Amino acid sequence: MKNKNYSVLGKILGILNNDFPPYVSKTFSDNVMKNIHMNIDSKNFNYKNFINIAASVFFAIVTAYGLISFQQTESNIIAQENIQKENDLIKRVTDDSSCIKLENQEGKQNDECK
Amino acid sequence: MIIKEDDEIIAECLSGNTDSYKYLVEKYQFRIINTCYKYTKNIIDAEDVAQEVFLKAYQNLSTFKSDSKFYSWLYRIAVNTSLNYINSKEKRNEKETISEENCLIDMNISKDNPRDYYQLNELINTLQPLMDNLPDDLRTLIELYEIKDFTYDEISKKLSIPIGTVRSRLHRARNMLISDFKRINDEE
Repeated sequence: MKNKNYSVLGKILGILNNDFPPYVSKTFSDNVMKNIHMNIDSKNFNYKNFINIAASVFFAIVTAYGLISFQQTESNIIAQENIQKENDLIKRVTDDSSCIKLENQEGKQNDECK
Repeated sequence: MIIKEDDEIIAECLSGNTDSYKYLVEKYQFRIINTCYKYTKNIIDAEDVAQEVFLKAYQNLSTFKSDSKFYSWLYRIAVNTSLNYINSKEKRNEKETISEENCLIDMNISKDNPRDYYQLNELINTLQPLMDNLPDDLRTLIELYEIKDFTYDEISKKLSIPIGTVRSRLHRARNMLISDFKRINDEE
């Protein structure tokens, strides 16, 4: 993107207004543009970094939540199974009406009573 | 020859074409560096401060209101940045006045590498004849807009001509000056 007309116009405006320094580096405008591009790049880099960090945190939270939920479900299932087993045992012990009946009738132990 | 108006260039920059900003830098670099030079009294520092000025202006381009001239806005940024620079320099206890040493360094740079620097004082005498050669109406417009800092609207009212005519005549005057200036100073 080279257009010398703007630089020439700049010189004309400087001379017309008697507003110019003793000398100006010919690479001044290139240096300014380099600076601007660097600034834009660093802004983009910061933005990308922010996005990366935010994504990492998000996935960490989701994973942690998933693991905790899974663990809770697992322990609930185990607990429920245990309760179920205990209930069955209790039921088998408490619900002995058929055994009593059989014992009374025959005095024998029924397999159901074991 | 296409010389875009400042507001056109600004619109291009805002729409994502960063490289267009170079046109504004090239157009105003001499005046802005000189403004900074008046404060810093040192050309190397002046260029550094001017770089900051153009960077700040770019970062705040979206806040620029097109009802004022871009140069006036840039000039205000240059003054504020230069004052900040002086204050920070004082805070850093670098109150040294512009030493002869600094001036010598500047002089050496300009003498050693004349091809790396623009020296406008050598061109002063070439511009006046070009201005004199311009038709009266165009010269008046250049004087009003570029030297006396009138806006298009003010010129339009003062000369009783439509704003469109002011724009097109100014465009023509600039193009004539640029092509003659390039021809005389062998700038291709």
